[in-house]
Amino acid sequence: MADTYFGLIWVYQLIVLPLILWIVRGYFEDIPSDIEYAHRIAGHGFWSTFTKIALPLAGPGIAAAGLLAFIFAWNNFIFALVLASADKQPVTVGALAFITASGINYGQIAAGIMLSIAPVFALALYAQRYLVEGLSLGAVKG
Amino acid sequence: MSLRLSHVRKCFKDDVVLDDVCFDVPAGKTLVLFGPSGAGKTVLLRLIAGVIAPDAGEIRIADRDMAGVEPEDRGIGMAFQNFALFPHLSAMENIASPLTAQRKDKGAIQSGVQKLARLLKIDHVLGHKPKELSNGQKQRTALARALAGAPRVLLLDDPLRNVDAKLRFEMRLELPRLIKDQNATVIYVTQDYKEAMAFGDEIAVINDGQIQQIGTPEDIYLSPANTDIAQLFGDPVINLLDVMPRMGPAGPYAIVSDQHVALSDSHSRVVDKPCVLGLRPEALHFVDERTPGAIPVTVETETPLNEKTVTLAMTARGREIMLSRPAGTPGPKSGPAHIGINEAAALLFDRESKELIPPNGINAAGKVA
Repeated sequence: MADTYFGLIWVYQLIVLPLILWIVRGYFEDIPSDIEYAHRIAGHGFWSTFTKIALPLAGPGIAAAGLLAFIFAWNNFIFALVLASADKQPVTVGALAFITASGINYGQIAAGIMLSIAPVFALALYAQRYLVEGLSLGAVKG
Repeated sequence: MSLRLSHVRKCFKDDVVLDDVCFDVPAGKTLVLFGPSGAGKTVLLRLIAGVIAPDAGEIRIADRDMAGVEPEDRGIGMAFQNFALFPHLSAMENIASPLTAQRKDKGAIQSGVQKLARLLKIDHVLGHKPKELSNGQKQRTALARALAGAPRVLLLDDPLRNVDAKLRFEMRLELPRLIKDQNATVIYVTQDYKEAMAFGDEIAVINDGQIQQIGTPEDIYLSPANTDIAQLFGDPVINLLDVMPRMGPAGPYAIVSDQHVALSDSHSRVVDKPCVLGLRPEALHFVDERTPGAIPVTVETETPLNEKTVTLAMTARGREIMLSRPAGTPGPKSGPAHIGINEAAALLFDRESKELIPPNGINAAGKVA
């Protein structure tokens, strides 16, 4: 576990899990219970109702939570600084390498930051339609 | 399949929502649950459906105790008041839901859904998602979903509440036939007394979590168990007049505006006790002033409804009385007039307990008073 990305991922779970639970719980609670009852009464079991009704309806919330958790972990600095070694550095810590004894290489830092923003930016562009859909969901009679 | 509830009780925290509910619906019959909102009707349906469990009492379907039986194993179809359609599935998939649960093959599901959809006139919108359907179409989709699995017990929770007046009128004509075709035992919840009278083989009037009266629509209209029920059934609403019955040489009588209204002989036991006289508007009619017992009134307003004319009149003591008569029959539009009472249709209630004092000595619950 020590000095692996996998170990670092486990530590990130610790900080993003409350965030994910808090958001996703709200989305599950927003599903009118009558819709789940209707599926049960129609003859489907508990697990079938969970996977066919609750999960799809909470989908936008799960997507939103996933995106936020990713950004949260991606931007995290302190855990990586403390736990990661020189050859297992996430980008936030890696950017520090440009602050050297001979001076601060602002150009490289700026370039590094641009590169580190790129995946988050792309993901946000892709996921925004799910986020918007999530906001408009929730009409009981819909 | 028959449905029997005995002594069912349900509380939410300290709040008793249902207490000692007992009724028995024979297979293939329709029971209408009628009561104001908050009376516990929806909770009762949920108990029968099995999505919540009773705190006490027993629910039996086809003579089998339902305690611990999951909702999916009860063989029930239910239409919710707010439709509760699956928003991410098309109307077709919504209706097919009970059939997929029964693991029918694709062709059978397809033809089953098509048949119901044609019957309910929604076959042209089967590909639409619920949010693309009108309220009436949603209502029919929800109804089709409840019927699709050919349930033994059908629970309809005020299915016509959220639809417009025209569709409600149409459905009021169509629904009884649809329900009869299903050959299921039906519990129909409504707040509309006309729907209750039209659909029910029997009506259970529920208020404050208790069943107040169970009977055929005629029973409930002609001998309501108390003044509350008398007021709920009937349009225009029943006239209730405070009276104190007296004993005369010809038997007990009540005094309305200085005129004697004869009561049934068995009412002699409430002589000199405060009572309420219930007079249906159609039990009153305009008469000539020379008629014995004619009550002088002043006609205030007249409202023509479709098939009847309703008149509001005021007695000399300032009590308001409503009369109704078939449309087209003559009657005074304003000013002084006289009314006669069809004494056989008069109902007498105890003023304190509000309960009916039955003319034959047997009260609505079937117990000798």
